[in-house]
Amino acid sequence: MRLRVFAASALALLSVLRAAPLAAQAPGTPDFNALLAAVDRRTNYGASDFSARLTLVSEDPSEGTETRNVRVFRRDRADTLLLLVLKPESELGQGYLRVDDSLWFYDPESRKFTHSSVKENFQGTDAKNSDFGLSSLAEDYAVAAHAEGRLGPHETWILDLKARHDETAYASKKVWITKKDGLLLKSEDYSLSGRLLRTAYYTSYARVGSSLVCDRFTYVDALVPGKKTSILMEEISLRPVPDEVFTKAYVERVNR
Amino acid sequence: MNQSMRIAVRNVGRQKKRTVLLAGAVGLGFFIITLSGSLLGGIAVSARRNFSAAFGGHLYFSGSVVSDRGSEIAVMADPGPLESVLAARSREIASIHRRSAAAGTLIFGPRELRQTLTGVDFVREPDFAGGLRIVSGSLDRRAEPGALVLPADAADRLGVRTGEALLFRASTVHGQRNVTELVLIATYEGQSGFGVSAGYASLGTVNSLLGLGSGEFQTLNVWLQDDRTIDATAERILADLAGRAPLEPREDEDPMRRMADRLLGGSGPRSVGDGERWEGTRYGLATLNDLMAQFTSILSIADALSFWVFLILLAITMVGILNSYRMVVVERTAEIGTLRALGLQKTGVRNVFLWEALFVSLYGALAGLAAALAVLALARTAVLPGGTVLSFFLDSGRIPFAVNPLETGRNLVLLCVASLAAASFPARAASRLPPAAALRAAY
Repeated sequence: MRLRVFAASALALLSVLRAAPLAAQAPGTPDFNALLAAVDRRTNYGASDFSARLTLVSEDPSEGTETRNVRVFRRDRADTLLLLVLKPESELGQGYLRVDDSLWFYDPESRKFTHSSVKENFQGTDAKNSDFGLSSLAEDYAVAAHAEGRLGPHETWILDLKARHDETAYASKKVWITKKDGLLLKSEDYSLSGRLLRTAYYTSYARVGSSLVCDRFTYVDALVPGKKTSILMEEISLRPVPDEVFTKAYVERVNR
Repeated sequence: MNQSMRIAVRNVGRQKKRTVLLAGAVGLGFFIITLSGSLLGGIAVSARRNFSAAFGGHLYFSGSVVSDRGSEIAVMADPGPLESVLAARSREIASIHRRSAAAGTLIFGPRELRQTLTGVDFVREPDFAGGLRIVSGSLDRRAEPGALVLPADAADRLGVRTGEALLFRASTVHGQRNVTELVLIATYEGQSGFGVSAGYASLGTVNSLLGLGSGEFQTLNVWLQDDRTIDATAERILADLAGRAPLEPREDEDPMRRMADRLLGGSGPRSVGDGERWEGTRYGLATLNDLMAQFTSILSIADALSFWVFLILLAITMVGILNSYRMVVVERTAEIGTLRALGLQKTGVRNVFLWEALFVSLYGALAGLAAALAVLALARTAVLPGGTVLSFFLDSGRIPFAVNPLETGRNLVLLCVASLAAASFPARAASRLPPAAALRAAY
């Protein structure tokens, strides 16, 4: 009986200690971890599949402007992803396939798959491979500080995020999330040394079914002046995608 | 025997034109095989030296651990077992260096360039400066944090000059993005054609970029006392390590490529499957011989080709010797009859021809050797411009050569045996001439 009372007290103490940081938040501020989780939920499509056509316009001061068209297929419940390059002609058929926790790059010229990383930049643009996949802000980052501010006409929460582990792409981030409907509007990505590497602007959201999908975003390289990539998402669909799409065989077949 | 040799020496001088032609043919073959063999040998030695200098040793031990999240992290977290094994073999080892490496992008203004950056413990590698041919700047401040040394062609492509600051963006060993500011203090003559033109910074600078502690490192590079013992020493060290620490198998694929992939992490840390995980630091080993395997096989093919050319020339020369001595036998039939009448035995006559062929071959071989050495010495005086792919095969800008006495001796013996074999047929025919019939012969 005594043991049971002690165990109950210890559990109660533990739950108080775990809740302490939340309780420390000022009255009127939301649970920021829940806010991040909501951003993830909005960006992810747990139950349904997702497909869209992306137009990426990369501006590089030394290499000029390049336009790419990419078809993206996602199945977030299985954490699978396929990116197929449609344009330019020189990269036609190149693909990135994420299956079984691995990201494979397919080169139609050599007809080979090679191991790639979600943390790598997509086709030399300012977008990362991970930018097109499952969002895991709440899982990967903890809120270190928060503030309120305006971004254009929007009232936002400005959250300083610190990585919970050292295998995230960025050691820290600063995100701007609207107070009204919890939309991610801007993100600054910082290196381990604390230097700003990239700023992302999420400038437009489209309603697809009951979801709001960011269909226009821009990544600005903070290290190379004038370098940025703008992405436009069209033909967005939440209809089921055939299972075979998320296979290496499919990537090879579409290249024949 | 002495009598036959004396007659042979005299005969060599009798028909100077024929002797010169025969010896010239022999000499040409010997010249070609000596020149090509020495050049290939020199290139092999220079390339070995340049490759080992570029990669900083003969044996490259790397370490990796499995992170809590199941990724392979390239760091030698616990060098203890390896260092104790190396300490036990200190007599075979000249020096041991600690290094780290990062592959990333140099950014200077709007320009970007992919570059490998090697972290060097300059305090423990005082002789590092001697291994680079400096084009601009100085290595005096190389140990300072943020000091960068680049191949000259990389600096040119970025348009950066010594004293200017630039950014280096790379990933940590865990795959996290990082960036640091570096100051170019010197440029050196690189060999980017071979993809081994690394930039250099202090170990602390590279470690900080990789997210490692200042005392940590990724590889232990070992210089051996004798680079001919690379494979044997590597086997012995691995045998000593077995049982003390997990080891990466060396047989399944190219160990050099695997180490480069892990260290330079172009595709980020590899995910390690549940059944594949290990405890502590797993050691991997790549050697200079692994690195040079393809190059060595190309040199071996070139060496074999030049030997075959030598054999073909030898065969042509043998035919020349055979025909020449058949004519000589006809011309000297009366003389042979006289010698036989004066008491020279059959073997004596045969030996005269054999000695003669041997002397001609030796003169030719010596002339060919002398000509090859003269050409090599002349070529050695020229200093070729650096910064090209060729410079990796050169010895400080000069054409290298290494005359191998064993190979030269082997070629000489082959040549003498072939000459004797060719001359043996006319020599035997001469020895079998009946003295009376030979005396009557008139040509």
